[in-house]
Amino acid sequence: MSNKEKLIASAQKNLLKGQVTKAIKDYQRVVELDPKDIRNRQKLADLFVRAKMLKEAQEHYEAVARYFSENGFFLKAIAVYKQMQRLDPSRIDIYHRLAELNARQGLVGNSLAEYKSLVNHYEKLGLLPEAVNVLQKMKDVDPENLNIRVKIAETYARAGMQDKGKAEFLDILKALKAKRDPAKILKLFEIFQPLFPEDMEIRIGQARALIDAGDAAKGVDRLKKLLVAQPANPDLLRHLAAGLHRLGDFEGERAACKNLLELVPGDAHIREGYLRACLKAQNPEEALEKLELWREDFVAAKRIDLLKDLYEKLHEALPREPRVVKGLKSLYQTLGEGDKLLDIMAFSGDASLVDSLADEDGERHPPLPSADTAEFLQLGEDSKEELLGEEPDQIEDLPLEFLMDEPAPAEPVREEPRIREPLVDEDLELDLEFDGEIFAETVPMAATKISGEDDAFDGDSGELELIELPELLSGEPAFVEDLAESESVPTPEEGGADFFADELPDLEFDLEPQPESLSASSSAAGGATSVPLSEVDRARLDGDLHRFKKVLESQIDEGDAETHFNLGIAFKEMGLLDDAVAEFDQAMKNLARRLDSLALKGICLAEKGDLDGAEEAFKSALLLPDIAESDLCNLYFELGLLHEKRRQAKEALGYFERVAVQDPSFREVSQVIRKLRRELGIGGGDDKGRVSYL
Amino acid sequence: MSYLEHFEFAREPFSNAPDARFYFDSEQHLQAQRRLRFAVDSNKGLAVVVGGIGTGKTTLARRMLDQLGEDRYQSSLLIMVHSGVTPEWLLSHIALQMGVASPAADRLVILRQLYERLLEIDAQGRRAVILIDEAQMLQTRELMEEFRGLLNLEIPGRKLLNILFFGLPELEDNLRLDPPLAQRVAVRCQITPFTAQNTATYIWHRLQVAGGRRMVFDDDAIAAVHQYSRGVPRLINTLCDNCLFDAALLDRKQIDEQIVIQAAQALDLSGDDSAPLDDVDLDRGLEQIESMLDRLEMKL
Repeated sequence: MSNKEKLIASAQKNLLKGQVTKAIKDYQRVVELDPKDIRNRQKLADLFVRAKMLKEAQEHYEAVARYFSENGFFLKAIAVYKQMQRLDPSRIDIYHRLAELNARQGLVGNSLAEYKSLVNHYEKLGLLPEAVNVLQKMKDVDPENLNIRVKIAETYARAGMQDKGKAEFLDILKALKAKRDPAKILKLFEIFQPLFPEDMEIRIGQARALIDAGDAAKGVDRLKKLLVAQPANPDLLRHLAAGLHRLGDFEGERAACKNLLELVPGDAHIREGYLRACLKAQNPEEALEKLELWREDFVAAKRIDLLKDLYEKLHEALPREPRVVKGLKSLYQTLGEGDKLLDIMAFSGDASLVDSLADEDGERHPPLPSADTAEFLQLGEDSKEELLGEEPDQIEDLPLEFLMDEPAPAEPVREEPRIREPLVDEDLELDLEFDGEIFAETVPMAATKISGEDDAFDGDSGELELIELPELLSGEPAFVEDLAESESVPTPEEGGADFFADELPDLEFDLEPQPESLSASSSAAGGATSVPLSEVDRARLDGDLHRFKKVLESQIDEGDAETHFNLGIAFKEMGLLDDAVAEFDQAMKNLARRLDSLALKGICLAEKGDLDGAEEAFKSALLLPDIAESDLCNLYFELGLLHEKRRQAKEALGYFERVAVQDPSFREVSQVIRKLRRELGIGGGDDKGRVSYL
Repeated sequence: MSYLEHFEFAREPFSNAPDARFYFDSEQHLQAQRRLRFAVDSNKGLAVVVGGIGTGKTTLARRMLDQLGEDRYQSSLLIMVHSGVTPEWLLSHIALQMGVASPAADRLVILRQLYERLLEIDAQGRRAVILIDEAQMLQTRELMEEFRGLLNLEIPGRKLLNILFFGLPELEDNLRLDPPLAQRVAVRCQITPFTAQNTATYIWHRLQVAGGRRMVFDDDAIAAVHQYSRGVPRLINTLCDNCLFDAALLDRKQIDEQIVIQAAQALDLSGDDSAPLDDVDLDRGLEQIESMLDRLEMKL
C-alpha cells in the first residue's frame, strides 16, 4: 500500500472515530504528496468546512474550482464556486466567476442572477461605474433583455452621465414603441422622469405616454402646464391636440391645431388633424374654407383619398354646399367612381347628366373628366395619369352617343342617401386615421387598441417579451449572511411571483438604496419597490404568466435541459439543495428530463425537510405519461420513505407494497414492508415468521 | 485500504451474503420463477427445483417467497438444516406456519387443524404455499408420505396446499422413495451453472449494483473466472471478490486474466482441468465443488 493510500485509510479511520482534525492532517499530507489529486483536495476542503476552518476550506475549494474550470468541467466548477459563495457571500470575485461560468455554460438566468447581485452590491457602495460595467456584461449575456438596458440607462443617469443615460433611455423607448406597449412606455417614463427633471422632451413624452396609456386627462393637464412655459413648442401642441382628441374635446383640439399651424403652417398631417377637428367640433364651414384653401397641396401630396373622405364628411354636414358638391363630383370623376358621381349629381339636381350616363344595359360609366374637373384639380399631365391610371384611355374609347341612348336607372340614386348614412363606427375610423397620421412618429397603435382608455392597457403583450428572465426577478440575495437565503436560486414560480409584484419595466432591480450593507437580502428589497396590483391587473398578469410559462416551456431545448439537470445533480452532490431544486425546475421544462427532474427535486426537498413539497413533486411525476416500471417503483418507494418520515406508517406501507407488487427486490422493499408490518402489528410481515428452520 | 474505495464501489459486489439487491435474473432463473408461479397460481400441488451447489436455489426460493404477497398467499419458507426430522415435527411445523395457532400433539388432530386452516385461507381467496429449501435432506419414506398426505388435503376442484421443493439433485431420489409422490410432481425445474455469457452478465450486474461504473474485469479475466468457477454463482462471487482484493493491493484498476489465475490458485480452485462443469460427470463435479467450498470456508 502506498503512502497516499495509507494516509487516506488513516483519514477514513479518523473520520469514523469522529476525529476530523486528524483526518484533515492526513488529507493535507495526501494533497502535499499529490497536489493534482483534485478529488482528495475537495475532500480536504469539505473537512475544513466541518472543522469550521472556512478560510482554509475556501483556499482548497478555489484550487478545485479552478482545476474544473480550466479543464472544461464548468458545471462542477459552478457547483464548487457556489459552495464557496455559500461559505462566504461577501466574496465579489466568486459572483463574477459564477456569472461568467454560467454564461459560458449557456445558463443565462443563473448568470444574470449572479451579475445582478454584483450590481446591487456596487450600487450600495455607490460604485456606479463598476455597476455599469457589470450591467454591460449582463447586456452582453442577454442583449434582448430590456430590463438590463433600463438599469444601464438608469445607472448612467444616477452616475451623472446624463447624455449616455438618455441615449440608452431613448433606445429603450424606441424598442418599446416597436412593441406597441403604452403601459410599459409610461412606466419607463415614470422611472426616468425623476432622473431628468428638467428635460422637456422627457416631460412631454411622459405626458404623451399618459395619454396613450389611457390617462388622457392627466396627460393633457400636464401638457397644458408645460405649455405655459413653452407656448410655442410644436411638440407640446401636437401631443395636446392628441390628448384633447382622446378626451373628446374637439374644439380644444381644433384650437391646438390652429395654434400649431401657425408654427408649422405647411404640415399636411396637422392640416388634416385641424380639418377633422373642425368637423368633429361641428364647424364644417371653417373646415370647408381651409380645405378649399389647401386642396391643391393635398392633391400635390397625392392625398386624393383624404380629400375624398373630407369632402364626403363635409357633404354630410353641408349637403347643399355647391363647393362641396363640385369638389366631390370632380373627385369621383377622377377616381372613376361612376356610381357615386351619378348619386352626387342626382342629389344636386343634375338629372340630365344622370340620364346621359346610363347605357342600354343599364350600366353606368364614369364620364370623361370635364374641363371643370381639370380646373378644379389643377393637375399636371403626369399627375393626372398617375391618379387616373389606365382609365383615361378606356374612357376615351367609349362612344358618347351610346352612353346617352339609355335612360339612367333611378333606384341606385334613391338608395344613395341610405348608403351614405353615417356608419356607427365612423368616429372610430376618424380617430384612427388621425392618430395614425399626425402622431405617426410616436406610438403606432393598432386600431382596436385606441377605441377606449381601457384598451390602451390591453396592449400589454409586450410585457412578457420584456420580462424574459424570471430567475432574475426574484432576486437571489446578494452578499447575505443568511446562508440559506443566499444560496437559493429562485424557481420559476418564485420568479413569477415577483414578476406579479412589480409593474415597472425595471422589475427586478432595487431602485432604493438598501439599509443593510452586504448582509442585505436584495429579494426582500425588491419586493419593497413593487406597486400593489388591482384585481384586474393581477388577473391579466396571471394570464400573462401562464403564457410566459408556455413560451418558456416551448423554448427550452434538450441541450439546455441536460445542462440544468447536470448542474442540479452537481449542486445536490455539493449539498446545495436550493440551487439543485432550481436547476431541476429548469430542467423539467423539457419533457425528456421531466420525470427525473421531478424525482430528484422531490428527493432534495425531502432532504431539506420540505416533505409537502417533496410529495407534490413525486406525485406530479406519477401523473406523467408512459412511466417505466422501474421509475414507478422509485416514485412509490420515495413516497413511502416520505410517509415514514412523517411517521405515517400505514400510508408508507401502502406505497411500499405497491413497489413490491411491481418488483419485490426493489431497494429491499420486502424488508421495509416486513419492518412496517411488524410496527403496525400486521401479521405475517416478518420473515422470521415466514421463514423457519427445521 | 478497502478495495471498495479503490474501485469506487458503494458496497461489496461479490459478497455471498444474501442480498436481494444483487438478485440476478438469469434466463433460467426467470423461467423457473414463472413456472413455479404458474404451479402455485393454478394449484398444481407439487413443484420441484433441483440444481447443483451454489447455483442459486436458495436465492430463488427467497425470491419466490418475496413474490408471494400476503394479500394473496399464505406462504412460508421452511429451510431443512438436518435430516433427522420426524413426520410429526414436520407436520406440526407446517401447521404453525400456515397459521394454526396451537398445533395439537396428535398427528391426526394436527391434520384436522391444518385442513380447517387451509379452508379458511381458501375462503379468503388466498393460496397456501410451503417452500422447502434443502429438501434433499428429507431422506425418509415416511417424510415423503407425509407430504403426499398433505397434498391430498383438497376440496372438490382444487388442492388446498402447494408445496415447492428446492434441493440438490439427490432430491429426485428422495421423491422416488414414495413413487405416488414422485408422480405428483406437476412442475420440475433444473437450475444449471451459468454459461460463459451468463457469467459475464452476472459479473457486470453485480458490479453495477455495487455502484461500479465500468467493467473492471477484462474479457480474458471473465473467461478465466468462468473456467475456474465452472459457472457456479457462489464460486464466481468468491473468486471475483478475491480478484478485486488482489487488484487493489497491486494498485491495479483493471483485472486481467493473470490476477484471476493467481486468485484461483490461491483459493485452490484451479483443480485438475479447465473443462466446464457441463462436460464432466455430474456427481464428480458436485463433489469437487463441495470440497472446494469446504476448503474455502475453512480458509475464510
